[in-house]
Amino acid sequence: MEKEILLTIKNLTVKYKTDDGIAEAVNNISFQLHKGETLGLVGETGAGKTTTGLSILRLLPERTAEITEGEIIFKGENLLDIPKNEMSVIRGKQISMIFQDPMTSLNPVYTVGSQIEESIFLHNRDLTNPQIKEKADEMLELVGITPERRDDYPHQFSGGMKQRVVIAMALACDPELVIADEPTTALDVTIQAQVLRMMDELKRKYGTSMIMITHDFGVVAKTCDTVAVVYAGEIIEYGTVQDIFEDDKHHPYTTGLFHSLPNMNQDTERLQPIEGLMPDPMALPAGCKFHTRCPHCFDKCKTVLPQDIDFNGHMIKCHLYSKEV
Amino acid sequence: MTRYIIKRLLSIIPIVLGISIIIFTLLSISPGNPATLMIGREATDEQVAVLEAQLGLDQPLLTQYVNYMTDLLRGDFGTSWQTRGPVIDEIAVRFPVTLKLSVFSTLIVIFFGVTVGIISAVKQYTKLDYVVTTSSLVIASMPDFWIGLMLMLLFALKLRWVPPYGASDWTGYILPVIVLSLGIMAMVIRVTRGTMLEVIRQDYIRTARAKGADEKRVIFKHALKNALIPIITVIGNDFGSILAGAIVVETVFSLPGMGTLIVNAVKIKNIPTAMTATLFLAILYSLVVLILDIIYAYIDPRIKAEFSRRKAR
Ligand SMILES: Nc1ncnc2c1ncn2[C@@H]1O[C@H](COP(=O)(O)OP(=O)(O)OP(=O)(O)O)[C@@H](O)[C@H]1O
Ligand SMILES: [Mg+2]
Repeated sequence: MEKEILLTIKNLTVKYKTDDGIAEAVNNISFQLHKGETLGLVGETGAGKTTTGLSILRLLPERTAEITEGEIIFKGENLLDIPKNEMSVIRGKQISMIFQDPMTSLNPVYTVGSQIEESIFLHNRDLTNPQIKEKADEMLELVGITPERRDDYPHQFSGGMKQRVVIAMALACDPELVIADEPTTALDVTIQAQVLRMMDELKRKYGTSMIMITHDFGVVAKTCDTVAVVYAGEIIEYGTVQDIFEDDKHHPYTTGLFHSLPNMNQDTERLQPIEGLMPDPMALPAGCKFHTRCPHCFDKCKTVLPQDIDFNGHMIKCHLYSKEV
Repeated sequence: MTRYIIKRLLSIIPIVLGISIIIFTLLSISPGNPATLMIGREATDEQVAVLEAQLGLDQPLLTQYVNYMTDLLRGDFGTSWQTRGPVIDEIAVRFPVTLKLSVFSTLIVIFFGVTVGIISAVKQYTKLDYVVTTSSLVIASMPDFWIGLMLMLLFALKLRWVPPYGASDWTGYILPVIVLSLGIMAMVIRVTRGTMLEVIRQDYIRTARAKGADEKRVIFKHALKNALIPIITVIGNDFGSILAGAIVVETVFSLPGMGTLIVNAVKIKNIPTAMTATLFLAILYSLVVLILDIIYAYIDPRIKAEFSRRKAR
């Protein structure tokens, strides 16, 4: 059975122009997302995950960021081609985003209730005020906040509660695609599990597709169908969850990530964080961007950019495997 | 909230006391004898002595001050040494002029200052923005009285569009209001632009866009309400500058307002008029600042939470 494709990203390249130079945040990223599926974007801080998410909604800072190349095809339409003012019809209604930092993502001068109501109102102009209120209360309940607190302001909420309000706003219009940027980092473990379960339920109920941005492989295992591992703005490994968790072929970076996790494998005795730091996006190394930290690095890695090697849909961008094919 | 307002109202008392002491001291130690100044050069020593006794000038300074203040507390605002009529009557005639001048100027400052500031911020780095930022910088750095004299030269003396002085009808207010508002408007434009630019960069503005709010809604509903807090602070401070500026502008355009009343009273050491008129403006200013603080509370829920003693749920 051929699954319906909701989103295709082709060769997305994003650069930030700053006073210190040009940061190459996203480099030639391509992936596909099927309807009803969840794609995990995993990677260290600064890998370009948020930038990729913001590109889809065209919410990158206007003056500094530039999408220099690529296509973002959503339901057959290239989002990069449609006029800027028409994006507001898509935002929140068809694609919505749960932002990484709940502390600053809510407007401090409006009540949380009115902020959720706004999300509903913007895309349901035919609803009456009481209907909108009712739906907003429903959303609050859905994320586990009693509707009596609708008249509170964000500063009266804890970080975790704010995060849930942000989630309620993003889900209010039953979007087809939700970009969840580390939706659970601000939450404690119990609430985290609750929120993930809730999002999973929605996914099943409405067939929502999701891009789950995270650096937590636990979250990936629980929620994702496919996974893209991002390093220095590139997808260096891509595959199904089974490919990522069970296959023994991996990009050395992914292997490194797994070794740096506590309690992932019984046979790893000690935590082994990957040596070194991610390269500065203003001065990316030639060749494979991971070669400066790679334990298997050889000469070719320092000069030639590796291509995707395809093992039945499990893609690895590494010279180690190029001889095998 | 009520408690807070009462507390703030009470805090006006020490302010008034302080100001009254400063003005009284300055007026009393400045050279010149009020009695001589009033009668004129040809005054005889006898006449002067009689007048001094009448005005209570023969008493020690402290007694004079205490007498004035006790009268004030009883609701007697003093008698002008010049007109010999109650100071309150002079203020009743003069204050409407100053009020019109400052209210019109404030409205112009708020309306144009905030609108132009927003437009300039939204169109950052365009030609329009450069024109606005440059001209507001230039205007803000020119002194009021100089702008006043130049405009008077051009529009009143050369083009004869408006009267050069006096307030016989509304046209007499045009130039004074412009002069009074220009500099402060330039400042409000700069502050509005700056805060709007700051607010537009915030995460919650991105959230608003992500929900599907269009640009107009993002600016006027989400950004402006947040930017208003610093803008109101500036406008509140500027109301003080407008009152102070009114004194200069009234002098330049010979308008019969509080400014000219105070200046003339000081010139001839008419202490009751100078004192009462100044205290009147000081209290007015304190009240305006208080009202602005209450407005803040209504805009910013975080401040309101501090005011109200409602228990956190
Ligand atoms: N507004 C900006 N101006 C300049 N550089 C930026 C800007 N936003 C992000 N960057 C740079 O782009 C790169 C990618 O950033 P991005 O926020 O996409 O990372 P991320 O993968 O989401 O990281 P994290 O896990 O910390 O959220 C980083 O090197 C960052 O410094
Ligand atoms: Mg991020």
